[in-house]
Amino acid sequence: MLRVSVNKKLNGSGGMMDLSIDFSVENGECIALFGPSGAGKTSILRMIAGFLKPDSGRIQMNDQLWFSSRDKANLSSSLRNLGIVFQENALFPNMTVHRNLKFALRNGQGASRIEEFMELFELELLKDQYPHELSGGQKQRVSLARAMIYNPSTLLLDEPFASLDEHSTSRLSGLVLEMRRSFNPSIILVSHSRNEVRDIAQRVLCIQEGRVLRDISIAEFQAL
Amino acid sequence: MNTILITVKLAIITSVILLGVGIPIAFWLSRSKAKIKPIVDALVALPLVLPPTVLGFYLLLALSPGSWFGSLAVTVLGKPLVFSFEGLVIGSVLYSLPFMVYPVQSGMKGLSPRLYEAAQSLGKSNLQILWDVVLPNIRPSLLAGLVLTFAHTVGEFGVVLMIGGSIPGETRVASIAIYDEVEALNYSSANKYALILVGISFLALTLLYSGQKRINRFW
Repeated sequence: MLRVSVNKKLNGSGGMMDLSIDFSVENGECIALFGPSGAGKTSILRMIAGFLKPDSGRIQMNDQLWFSSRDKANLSSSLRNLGIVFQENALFPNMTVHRNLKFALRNGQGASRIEEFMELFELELLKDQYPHELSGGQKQRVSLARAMIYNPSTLLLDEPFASLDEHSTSRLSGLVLEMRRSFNPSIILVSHSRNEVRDIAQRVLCIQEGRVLRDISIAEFQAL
Repeated sequence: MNTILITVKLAIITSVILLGVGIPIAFWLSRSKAKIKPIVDALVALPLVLPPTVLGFYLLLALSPGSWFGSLAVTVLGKPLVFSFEGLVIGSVLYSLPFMVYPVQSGMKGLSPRLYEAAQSLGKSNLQILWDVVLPNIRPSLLAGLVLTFAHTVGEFGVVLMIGGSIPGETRVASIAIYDEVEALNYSSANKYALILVGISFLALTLLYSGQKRINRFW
């Protein structure tokens, strides 16, 4: 289980905001952080990823401590076993699609996994293309494949559908669900779109001004 | 001809050493939030604002056999560093440091922070991120650093004069030769050296601009 209990003073576009969040995610559960822009959703995700240091609090994954202000612990993001899909394209521009996936493999993971993922994500025809030659939807498919290829325990999705058309969004959300079925990672989706949340999440944390306003099931969310 | 060969040899050796020294410094400066970063920034920039004679003067003291570093060099090399080609290399590396660090640092800062974060999340070390992600994506900046360092070293005068003097075949570089020839009222010879320096600098800069265009076309 991932337990997150952190505080952070943020300086956003709407001025200073005290972010104070306390929630947990069961292993294999898929939750969404839902709320308007500037609510602090991405900052929460960045703190879980280890890219943003909380002012105080604790983040723990099962028995592994990721962050603790009291114990002065802050585990490097490279050791948190996370997969991340960013809103903006973060594929390595100097690497082909195949190389992007190969670069993500951990020691001991066979190259046959690349072929498996290429097929699963329908990337075979794109394997020798560079990121700048891909469409937005294709880039996000490669990003998701790269984030999952080394079998991380947690998948973080930071508004991955934000710049995609309806068709690409539906294809990518289908792949996220497929990843959940096949590899069962804990998933945290950041989104301000009700449709995306409805399609993917089991539970929703409604975030507003750095606070959890509601912690509800997807059925309750749909009834709102 | 010997003078031109020494000039080009000095510029090439300085550029190659600075590529190795400048990249880690630029990487650290582009990523670090350490409190001592402004001090390191200032140290790297010092050669830009100091008169070359000041840098040359302190190098002369540091490299002379009377100093601990200079006496160590005498023990290791069997000869003093001052008024030697090796001493010129040390002086040139320090003097041209910002010309390598700044273009490379600027290229690194221009990369999206998401690339660093994505590589980190994939479990990669800083060294792997530098080698596999950062350097291949800033090749135009690396070329700029190399060419600017080369051209700057070819044109340096004050530092060379202070620590190298003008020993033909050892430390007499083209810029010093021009000075010596003008002093001797030998204008045609000075003109030859000057024209060659103009040609080398022009070639280096043309290589930089055409090379950057070509590298950028890779993706």
